[in-house]
Amino acid sequence: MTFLAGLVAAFAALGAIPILIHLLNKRRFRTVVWAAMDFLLATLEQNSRRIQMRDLILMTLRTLAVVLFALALARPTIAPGQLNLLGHQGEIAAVVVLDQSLSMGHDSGAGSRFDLGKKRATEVVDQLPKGSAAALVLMDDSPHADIAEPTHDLSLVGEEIARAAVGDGGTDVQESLALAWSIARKAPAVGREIYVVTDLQTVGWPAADEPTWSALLEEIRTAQPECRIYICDVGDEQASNIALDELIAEDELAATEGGGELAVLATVRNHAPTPATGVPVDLLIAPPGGELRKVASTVLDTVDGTRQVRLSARVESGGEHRIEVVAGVDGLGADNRRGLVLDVVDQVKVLIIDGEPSATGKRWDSEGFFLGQALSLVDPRDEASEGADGERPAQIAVDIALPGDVASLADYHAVVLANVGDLSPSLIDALTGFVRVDGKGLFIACGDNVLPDFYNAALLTDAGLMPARLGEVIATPVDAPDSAIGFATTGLVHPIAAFLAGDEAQRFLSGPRFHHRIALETLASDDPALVATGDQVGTVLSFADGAPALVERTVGRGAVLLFASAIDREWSDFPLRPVYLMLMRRAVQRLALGRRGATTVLANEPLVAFLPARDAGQTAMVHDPRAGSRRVPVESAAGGVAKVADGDTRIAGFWRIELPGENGNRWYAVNHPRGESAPERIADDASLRSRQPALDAQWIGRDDDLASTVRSQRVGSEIWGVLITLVAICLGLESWLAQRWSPKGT
Amino acid sequence: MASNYLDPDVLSKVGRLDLKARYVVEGFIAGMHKSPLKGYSVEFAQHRGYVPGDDLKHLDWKVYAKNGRYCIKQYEAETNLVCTALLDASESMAYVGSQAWGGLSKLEYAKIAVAAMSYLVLSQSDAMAMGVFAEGIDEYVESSTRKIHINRICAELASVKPERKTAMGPVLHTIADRVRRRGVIVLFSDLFSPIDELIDGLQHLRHLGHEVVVLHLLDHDELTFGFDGLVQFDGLEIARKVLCQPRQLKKAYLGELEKFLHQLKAACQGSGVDYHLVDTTKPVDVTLSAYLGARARMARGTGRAPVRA
Repeated sequence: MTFLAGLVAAFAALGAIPILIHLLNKRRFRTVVWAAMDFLLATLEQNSRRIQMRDLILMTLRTLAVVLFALALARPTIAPGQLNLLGHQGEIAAVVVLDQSLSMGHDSGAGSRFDLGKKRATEVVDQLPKGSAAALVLMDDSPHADIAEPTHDLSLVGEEIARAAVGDGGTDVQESLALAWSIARKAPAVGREIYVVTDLQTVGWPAADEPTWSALLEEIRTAQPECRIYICDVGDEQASNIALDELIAEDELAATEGGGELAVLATVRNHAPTPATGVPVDLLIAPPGGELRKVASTVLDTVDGTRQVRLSARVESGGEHRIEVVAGVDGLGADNRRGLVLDVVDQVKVLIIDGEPSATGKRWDSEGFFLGQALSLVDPRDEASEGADGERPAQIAVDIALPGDVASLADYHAVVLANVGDLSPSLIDALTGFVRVDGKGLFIACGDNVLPDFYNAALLTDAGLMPARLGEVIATPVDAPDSAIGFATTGLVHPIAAFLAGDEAQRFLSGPRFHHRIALETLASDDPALVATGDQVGTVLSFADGAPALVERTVGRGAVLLFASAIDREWSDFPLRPVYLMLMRRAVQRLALGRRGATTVLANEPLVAFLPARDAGQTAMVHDPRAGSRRVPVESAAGGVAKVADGDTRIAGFWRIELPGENGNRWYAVNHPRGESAPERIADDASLRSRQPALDAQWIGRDDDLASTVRSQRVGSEIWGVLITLVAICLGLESWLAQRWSPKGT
Repeated sequence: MASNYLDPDVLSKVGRLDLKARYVVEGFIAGMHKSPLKGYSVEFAQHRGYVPGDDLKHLDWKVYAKNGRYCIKQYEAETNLVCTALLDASESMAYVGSQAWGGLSKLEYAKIAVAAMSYLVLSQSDAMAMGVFAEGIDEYVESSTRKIHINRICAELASVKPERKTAMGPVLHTIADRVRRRGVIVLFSDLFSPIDELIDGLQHLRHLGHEVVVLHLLDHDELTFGFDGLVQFDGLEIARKVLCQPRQLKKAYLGELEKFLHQLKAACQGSGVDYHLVDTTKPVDVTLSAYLGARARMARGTGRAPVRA
C-alpha cells in the first residue's frame, strides 16, 4: 500500500486520542466512601471481565475510526492484485517523453522512427485509465515540455503528439527524464508513469555511474507513490549511415580579391563497418539574396571511417554567403548535409603597426614583416586576377606603419600591434573606438618592446581592451631548442583553432618552438571590468604547459586577440612554420568580422546578433528553415550594444534574422550534432539492464502490446472511499453498542 | 442530652400510636400487652386436662360437676413489655447519602429512631433496654420502666461512634443469651453481615420466644446506586478501593441487592421476624409511624393468638 499524501498519514497517530482520553478520564474521578462494599465487590467479580471487554471493544472502534479516517485523508492506494475487490483502477499521471532527436528521422522504408514514436505515444495516451492526466515532453539535447502540467484533456495531448515534428538536435536522456520527473513528481495521482518513446540511440544515454544520473534514478525509484518508467523502443537496425561530421571554411572571412576562392573542408564519416564506395559530395553556395546552387562536387571512391574532402568555388560578390555540403544518400538524410555562413568582402584590409622596424635595412628584420607576408599571400594559381602591372591582388591587403605615422583607422578591418612599446594616448583612444564602437578587430602581439606594466595600465585598466594581464617574461635559452615550449594540441574548440583539431593538422600545430613568451593572466569571467562591459574572454590556444598562448576578448561590437609571444622570429620559430600562416590568417579574418556572434551553431544553440545600442527595444523577426517565423525583442546588453538572441533552434538548416533599422538580414547555419549519426543503439531489454543497472524501467519493444504490458504494472486503486465507509461503520457500531450497553435511566 | 435525639415533631407523630406487640409477650406490668405465658390471672383463656401434680385450686369443679372430667382452668394475663433496641454501630452505618434525611448518616438516623422508640415505650410504662454493637456488644443498657431511663439511653446514644466491622451472628447469639425474659427485640442495622450468620442469630432469638423486629436501614444511594461518571468507592468496613463506572454496574448491583433482600425477607418471614426496610431519605417519624401503623393493622387482623400451654 502506498499513500498519495503520505504526510497526512501521520495523523493516524491521532488514533491515540481515545486511549489518552480514556487514561485521562481514569485520573478524573470522585471518591465515595461506601458501605455496601460487599455488593459492589460481588458485582464487580461477576461483571468486570464483561465490562472490560465492552470498554475494549468501544475503544477499539473509536481508535479504529480515527486511524482509518487519517489513513483515508492520506489517500492510500493498493497495487493491482493486492485487493482487487476494493475498487476500479486508479487514475494515472503520465508524462510522455517523445524523442525528437535527429536519429528519430531515420527511415528504413516503412516510415520513420519518429512516425512510429508518435504512434506509440498516441497508444500511451489512449490506454490511460479514465480520469488520468498526461503531459508531453519532447526529448532532444535541449528537452522542453510541450505540455508542462498533466492535463485531463487527453485529446489535447494527442493533438500535440500529432503536431510534433522530428528535430535535428542531439539526445539527452538524463535531462529529458529529469524534466519528466519534475512534472510527474508534482502530480497527485494514484500512479505516476513516465513513457520514454525513443530509438535508444546509445549516444544519448549518460554513463551508468554518473552521479547526478544515479541520484535521479534513485529518487524516481524510491518515490512514493510509485513512479513507473516505461522504455518504448521505436528504433530499428541501421545497416549503414554516411554522415557529414564537420564542415569548416578555410578562411574565417573570404574575399573576392585574390582569386575570390571560397574553400571548405568537409569531413565525411561512414558509420558502417564496411567501406562505402562512390560517395558523392556536393558543394552548394547561396550568394546574398540568391538560392543555394551546386557549385562544386566530387565523388569519394571509398570512405572507410572518416575522410576529409576539400571543396572550393569562386565567389563574385561580397556579403553573407550560405554554404552547404551534401554527402551521400541514405535512410537518415538529415546528417548528410551541413552548412555554414561565411562573410565575403572584397578585400580584408589590415594595418600592422610595427613596433620594431628593421634597423639593418633588411625587411625581414622588422617586426611586422612575417605577418605581412603571411596575410598578403597570393594564390599562385590565380592567374586570372593578374593586373596589367603583373601584380595579383591579395585577399588580405596589408599596410605596415610606425606608431607615430598612424593617421586614420577608418579604412581597415583589423589592426595589429606588433611589439609596440610606445602607444600614444590618441592612438589608444582611436583603437578603443575602432574596436568597441566600430566593431573591428585588434591583434596585440608581444615582444621585447612591450612593457607589461604600461600595457596593463593603458590597454587593460584604462582602455579595457586586453583579455589578460601581462606578467613577467618567461625565457629559455635560445640555443637550447629542447627547452623551448610548443602549442598544446588538445582542447581546440575555438573557431580560429578548431580546424587544427583533425589528426592531419596536429603535426602542424606541434611544430613551433617558443623560447620567450609573456605570462598571461586571463581575466576571470566575474572580473568587474568584464561584468561592467559585458565583454567575454576565451582562450583560443594554449602552450603545452597549459598557459594561455592566444586569448580573445569581445569588446563592445568588436574583438581583441592577445598573443603571448612575438610574431617575428625573435622569440620563436613560429613565423617559419606553416601553422603560422593558417593561424594568423584566420585570426585576422575573425578580427575583421568583429563581435558578430557565431554564425554557424549546432541545433539548440542560440542564434545571437549584436546591434548598435540604439536598436534596443525594437523587434527582430526570426525565420526558420521550414518557413516558420517568430518575433524576438532586441534587448540592451552590457558593453553599450544591443542583442538579439533566440535559443529555439532545433531544426537544422539556414536561419535568418531580420534585424530592425538599417542592420539588414543576418544568416545563420544550424547543424546537427555529429553524435546523432552514430547508429549504435540499445537494442533490447537485456542490453538496457546491462548498461543501466540502476534504471528501474519496463521495456516495451516495437512489437509488444503496450496496453497489456502497462496494465500489468499499474500502481493500483485508491481506497479512501473504502476506508471512509469503514469509518462510518466503526462509528455506527460504536454508537449502537454504546447505546445498547449503557444502563437505562439514571 | 435526650433532646438531641427526641425531636418533638417525631415524638408527637409517633406518640399517638399504641405500641402493640404482634405477639403476646411476657411482661411484668399488667397492661395492654398480653403475656405469652398461660397463667392463672384474671382472664380465662382455656381448659386443659388435669395432670397429676397440678395445683388443685385451679381445678374447675363446675366442669367436673357437669361431665365428670378433671379440667384445669387457664387464664391470660396482660403483662408489661420489655423492648430491647439493638443499634448497629459498625463503620458501615457511618455512610451519609446525598439525599439522606437531614444529612444524617444511617447511624445518626438510627439513634433518633432508637431514642424515639425508647421514649414511646417508656411513656406507656413498658420497659426499655438498649444494646450497641459492632463486632460484639459494645454497650448494653439494662431495661427499666422508669421514664427517667430515657436520659440514660440518650446519653449512651450520644457516645456511640461508628467503629469496626459488623458481626451480626455472634451479637445476636450473645443477646439471646443475655435477654432471658421474652420481649420485643428491635434491630436497627444495615445488616451488612453474612446473611447465614444473621439468619441464624435471628432464628435463635425467635426460638427463645422473642418478638424480633428488624428495621433494615439503607441509604437511598445504596438502594438505587444512582451515581454518574467515574467513581472510586472506598470501603468503610472492607479496606478496598474500587474504581468503576457505576452506570455500568448499576443493574448488576441492584440485582445483587435484590437477591440479598429477597433472601433476607424470606428468612425473616419463615422465622416470624418482622422485617421492615427503611430508606433513610424518609423522615424518622414517617418511618416509625408507618411501622407502628402496620403493626397495629396486623394486630387487629390477627386478634389474640391462641394460648398455648
